Amino acid sequence: MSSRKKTMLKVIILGDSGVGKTSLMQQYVSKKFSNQYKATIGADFLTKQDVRVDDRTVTMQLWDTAGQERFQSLGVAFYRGADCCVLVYDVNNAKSFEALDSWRDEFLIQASPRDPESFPFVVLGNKIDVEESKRVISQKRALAFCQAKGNIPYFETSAKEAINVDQAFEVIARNALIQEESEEYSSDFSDPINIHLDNERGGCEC
Amino acid sequence: MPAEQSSIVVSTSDQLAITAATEPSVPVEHTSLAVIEDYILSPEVLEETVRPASPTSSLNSISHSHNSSDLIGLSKAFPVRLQSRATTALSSYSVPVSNGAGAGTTTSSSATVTPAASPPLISSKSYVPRLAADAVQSHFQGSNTGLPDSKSLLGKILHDYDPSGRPHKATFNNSFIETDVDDDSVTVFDDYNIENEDDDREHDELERFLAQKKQYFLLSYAGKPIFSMHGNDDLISLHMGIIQALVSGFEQPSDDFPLDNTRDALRFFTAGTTSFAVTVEDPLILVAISKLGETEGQLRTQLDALHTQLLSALTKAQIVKVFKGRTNFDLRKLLDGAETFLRSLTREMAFGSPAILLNSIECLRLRNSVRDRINVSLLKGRTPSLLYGLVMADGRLVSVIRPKRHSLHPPDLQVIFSMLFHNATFHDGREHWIPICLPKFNNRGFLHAYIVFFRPKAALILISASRDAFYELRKAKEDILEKFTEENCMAPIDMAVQLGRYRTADIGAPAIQHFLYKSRSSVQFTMPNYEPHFPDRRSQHELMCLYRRLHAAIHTKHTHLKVLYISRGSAVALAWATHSFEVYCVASEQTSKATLAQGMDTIIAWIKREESRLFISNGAVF
Repeated sequence: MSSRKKTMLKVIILGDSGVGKTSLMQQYVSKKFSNQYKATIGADFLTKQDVRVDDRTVTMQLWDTAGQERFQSLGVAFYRGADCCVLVYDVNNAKSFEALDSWRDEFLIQASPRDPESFPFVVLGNKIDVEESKRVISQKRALAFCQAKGNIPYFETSAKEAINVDQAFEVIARNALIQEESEEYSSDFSDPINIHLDNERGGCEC
Repeated sequence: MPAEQSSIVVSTSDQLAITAATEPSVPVEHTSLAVIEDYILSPEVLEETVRPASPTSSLNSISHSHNSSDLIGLSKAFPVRLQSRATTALSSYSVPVSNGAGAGTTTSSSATVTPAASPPLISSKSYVPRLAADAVQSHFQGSNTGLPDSKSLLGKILHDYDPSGRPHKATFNNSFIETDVDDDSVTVFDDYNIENEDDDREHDELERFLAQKKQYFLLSYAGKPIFSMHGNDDLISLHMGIIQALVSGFEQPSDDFPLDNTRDALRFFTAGTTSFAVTVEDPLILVAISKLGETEGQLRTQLDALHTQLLSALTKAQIVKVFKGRTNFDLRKLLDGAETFLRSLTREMAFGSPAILLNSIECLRLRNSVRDRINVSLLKGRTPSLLYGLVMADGRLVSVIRPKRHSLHPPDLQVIFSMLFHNATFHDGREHWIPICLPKFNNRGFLHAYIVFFRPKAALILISASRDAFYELRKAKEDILEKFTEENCMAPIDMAVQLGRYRTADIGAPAIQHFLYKSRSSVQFTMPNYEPHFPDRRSQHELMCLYRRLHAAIHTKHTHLKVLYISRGSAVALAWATHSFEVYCVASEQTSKATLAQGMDTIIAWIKREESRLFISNGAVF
């Protein structure tokens, strides 16, 4: 018999093209970084096994999506059932930061979580390894945005230098797990079938 | 830890093309899919384009490349039909001839079925339909002229599955699926390098996973794994993610077709010789993957059985409820304990189950007087809250009592058979009291079953709608077993189990090595012992594969031909379907068509005589 299955968490990563979504995942999952840019086309799947969250062990299904607009049609069903959404921007690219809001809205519309207010997002400002002079989005500005959107956890990361990546994904895993367990399902097995042997109700019609 | 990475790429132009980014350094870790679907082509054009009419047809030649850019020709309605048509066109049945040594041809021909009105060929005393051996004979002779010998050119049963015409490398010479009730692992014997270093283990695991002849996936609509027959969490979640993306890609209306809200769900596609059948039962997705050449219909029947098994543990109502408003639900939390039954069922189906193939059940052959005594004992021991009373022995139905207005459905019975006889859980001689949903009876709630094996291979199952009926049913069991002893029912059951099924030699058809006979009206089947001709699991599995092929051919849509003869290297086979029965006979390669047809006639006549012993017509009704 197989051992008790670990909780499976579905995490979606969104953000403009080229902000480093795939690199962040690669760094997190396989501790690798490539300088070469290769656009994700459609969606990539990565699995991170044996993630420790306090005393729990979970498995993360990471759904890396393409930033290009032409792939947005993956849409509705694709986002459905996510436990956490990671929004990524490039601290050296103002446009990618300004797009965060619409990525968030897009996700909420498409995935339509039951309680949008409490759905866990995490914002990552990536590429902080690039020289300071090129930086256009200050930490202050990013934090203000996150606060305004309901205290979204914020991390400044570098996929290249492996800065803050593990820390960020630890919070992502924890918040995803909380979301996954947010509502107790009631395993109520007590619905009885009312069989009336004298009439047809409750059973089949044959 | 390196993770497998897969890509799905969907472009939203007129052509939906999914291709994959590749990672040459780690090709094996990279699962890639390509979906080619052209909405622009009209059905006619499409048909022309993708018809797998020849081994080199476009769809099939895409198949496998050894790099990481495997393409999957994805099809919906049209190619599905085409696929089955191409492999089962009875009137001119021919299979691509392989070039390699050891390969050969398979031929099949149609034969005329002589209706009962044809005087010279049928005894006027018999109401048994007969296959006209002469007609078959002459037809075969006709079709044989020009062919050196219809038999024997094929090496092994499965060779001709490969629609691309390439010699099928993984035959059952070195690879087959082995199943045992008490063994939780399904073993596929392939020539793997056993001395893999640890570094290669993951690579090896993936190889092993992908090499499986059969796979079943159960996942939530969000893409979270619920059940997989093979593989670890890592591999499973990856592949289920891909499946979910594919299914969702087909589900939503696109900008190009804004008015089309009813686009077909993804149902079936092939990649080389691997077939994928998908059933979307919101909030669940079920997938069957086969390299055994099964048809969409056959895989769908298996998925239905798998779904039924899942529902039996959870009920439809429960599943809908837990997913309502929480699409991210991890259903594995509720599956504790039920997984073992899904596992045993999938193993049974991968091996090949006559019951599921024919969608019917098998009964224990008993004298009418014995069965009557068992029925009467059950009826006498019946208590007020009893809904169904069943006796099953060695995977076969012995007796059933039921209320007049409620019959039992074969899929529901199959759930019970599979749980009792393909899983060791209940084989401890103890009493069991389990909630069980019989979905075809009522998928909204649980019934409760009292189960006890009163003989090593025979079980009494008492089912009630009341969950408080345990003591009542336990008392009923005592009364019933007492009656069994009084009425001398135990010995005949034991004997029937011990003797096993009949042999074809016993019924006057020694030339037939094995057969399946399904009575359509009673939704029951009968078959002889596997021994002596199919003594081991491997040969039995091969036999089942042959039956699948015959079944697929005879069930092709739009064909009026209902008789099929196949000659293979190791066997010849004859299948015949009428409105009241279908029968599949297998004989050794030396058997002539006339002998084969005669054997079939003998079997049909014998079954007609034995009908009341082989099948349960109504059961005892109260």
